[in-house]
Amino acid sequence: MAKKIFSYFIIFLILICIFLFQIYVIDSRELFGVKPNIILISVIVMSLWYGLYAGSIYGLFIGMITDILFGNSFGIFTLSYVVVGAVIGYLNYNYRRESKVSLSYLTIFGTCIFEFMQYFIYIFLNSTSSNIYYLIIQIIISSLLNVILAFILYGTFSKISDYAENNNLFY
Amino acid sequence: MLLKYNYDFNNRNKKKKSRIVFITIILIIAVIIASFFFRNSQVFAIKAASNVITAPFKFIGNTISGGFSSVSMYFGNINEVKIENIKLKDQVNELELKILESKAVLDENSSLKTILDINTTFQHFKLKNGKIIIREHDNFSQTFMIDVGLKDGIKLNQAVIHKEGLVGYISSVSDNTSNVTTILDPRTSVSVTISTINEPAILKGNLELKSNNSLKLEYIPIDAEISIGDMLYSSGLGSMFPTSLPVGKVTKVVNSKNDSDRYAIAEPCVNIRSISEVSVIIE
Repeated sequence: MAKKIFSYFIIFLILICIFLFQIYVIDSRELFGVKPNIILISVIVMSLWYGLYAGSIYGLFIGMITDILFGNSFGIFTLSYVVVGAVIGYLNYNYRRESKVSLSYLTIFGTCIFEFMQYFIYIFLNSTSSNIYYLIIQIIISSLLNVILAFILYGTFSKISDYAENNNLFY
Repeated sequence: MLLKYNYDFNNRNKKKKSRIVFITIILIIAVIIASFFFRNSQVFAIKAASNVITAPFKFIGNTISGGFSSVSMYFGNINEVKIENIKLKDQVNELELKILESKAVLDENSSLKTILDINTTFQHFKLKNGKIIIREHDNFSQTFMIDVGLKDGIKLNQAVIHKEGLVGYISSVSDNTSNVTTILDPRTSVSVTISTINEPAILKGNLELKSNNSLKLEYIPIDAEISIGDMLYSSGLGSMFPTSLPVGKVTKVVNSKNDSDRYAIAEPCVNIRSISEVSVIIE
């Protein structure tokens, strides 16, 4: 029991590190006008490897922290991360989780859902208008950046997954 | 018989030759030894001659002994060199630490200098300085959080500036932190005056232009002659931003068939993505 609690604690620490790295390092600079999102990649990986429930709960948890931190009363990030977690978790039965190709397809798909939701909630809440062409360009660039990051971080996520599996954490 | 005689003759010659060679070698050795003995002789001629003879031997001897002494010095000093190396490594570590400390001091210095510049430029305002903690997480808005809040006298809708001009406004505030929505955010509109013609217009954030660090200048009066390089200052209308704060500079004018539809692209005076300190106008 103590070992299991310790394992949860380790995973919690790793996810907090991912979160802090995104907030303090990646968010402070833009690449081609967009920011890669490793929190989103972590949600996709969690859903791909551990299914609908683990992915959605993780999305809810990390989305709430993000919303609280940025003072968003509407819960834009909570909603977006939960939806991405649920959709990828629903689709995970059709993909091999060890495959990098599956990870790239689902990263692109997850990024599209996330960016579309962010865009439409943003437009709806702020009554602003924008060219849809801009959104498509934005989605293409951020998907590519996220896929590259997902490939780079694949090793780390695999190690976390192996560790979780060895300790029967999500079953 | 003849053959045998020839053989004896050759043998005798060989013996004679070898004897001559032997005697010559002995003589040379004797001369060399003698010259070593007489090299300090009082007679100049003997001294010079002995020096000439012994010079090559001295040279060879010096070279060999020099080589041996350097090798022995190398092995003799290796421990000292090791100790010196450790000391030098320690010194390098200390110096590296000092460099890091100096860099931190330099960063702090430049940060304080920026704050001082802001305070000097906008002396007529009561300012509260803050540092940027985090920036927006999404790809559509353009906001950041600063480390001052209600406890420091920050209120909603107060103007946020940098030494070069207007940055944005306080859009939400908590006890210790505040969120700043910048002028690049598509939700922000600033009423500005075009410097050269003293005409009003609206400067708005735009999603498409945001990544190029640009803004859209709209509602330009039909008869206004706007040109590239015109400065834009806050007009003070709407009472959110004080009058005459530098906001941006016109970089492109886009004309259309209908004069009322024309607009301009402007660049903010402040490079919002690169700043790390700002000031909030409290009064």
